[in-house]
Amino acid sequence: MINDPKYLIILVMDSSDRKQTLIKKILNVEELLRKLDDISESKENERNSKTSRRN
Amino acid sequence: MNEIVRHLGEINSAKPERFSKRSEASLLQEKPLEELEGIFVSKSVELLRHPELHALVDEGKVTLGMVKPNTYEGKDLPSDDDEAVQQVLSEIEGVFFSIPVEMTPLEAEEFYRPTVEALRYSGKEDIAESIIEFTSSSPLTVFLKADSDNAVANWRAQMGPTRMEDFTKPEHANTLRGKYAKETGNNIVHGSDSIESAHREIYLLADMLEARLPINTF
Repeated sequence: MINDPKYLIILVMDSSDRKQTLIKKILNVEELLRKLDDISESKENERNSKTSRRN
Repeated sequence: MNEIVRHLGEINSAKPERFSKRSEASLLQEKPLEELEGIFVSKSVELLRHPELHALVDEGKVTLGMVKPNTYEGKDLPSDDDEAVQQVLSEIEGVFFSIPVEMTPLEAEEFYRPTVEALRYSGKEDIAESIIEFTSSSPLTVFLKADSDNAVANWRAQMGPTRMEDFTKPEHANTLRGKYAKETGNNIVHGSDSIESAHREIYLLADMLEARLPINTF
């Protein structure tokens, strides 16, 4: 059923500038992934600094 | 704008990233459209399964929402479905990721499994079937939304009550359903009803997207 064209993901509704819109969306997701990695890292640093203060 | 929305939604902030983004963009420019679609879906799957995203869900800072199919059927919305979706989305603060998907009936059943099972258990098979049929009838837009706290409850408050007899009450006139929904069957928007549901629905969306990737992407 997944291979039925009816069920293919519709990535970009506006077909006029499909490629540019898609590139923008990719860069946006990459940026979000970097932000999430940054948040993880800063939480990890905070945990480590609390641990070293206790020690 | 709250800290987490700023964190997730802030684009083009750090200078080194701007440079790297420019070169990334020119590399992407050379790729064919089909490959770009694969890259976007594959990165979206990575995002939806990112442990930190789910940590933020646990902290009440991120939740999942959806603009349901056939949005144009709503009250006072443009007759063009894309424009209707954009109008609804433009009223929702903190949306940092969105993707249009057309669910299969099986995916729709899995997405609404707790509701569908409860309806079937109470003998309301026809309502369960209509939910599945409606959800898989045409494209919908799933999104992630950030908030400073209580993301699930805040988003559900902005949506308004589920049923028509409730969302048509004057006290709900400023909710999205109060403004745009005409009936319970298409009440325009969806929101995860708990942190556990948000995790489940985000992982399900990742599975749906992954199922649409060409095999050679991995």
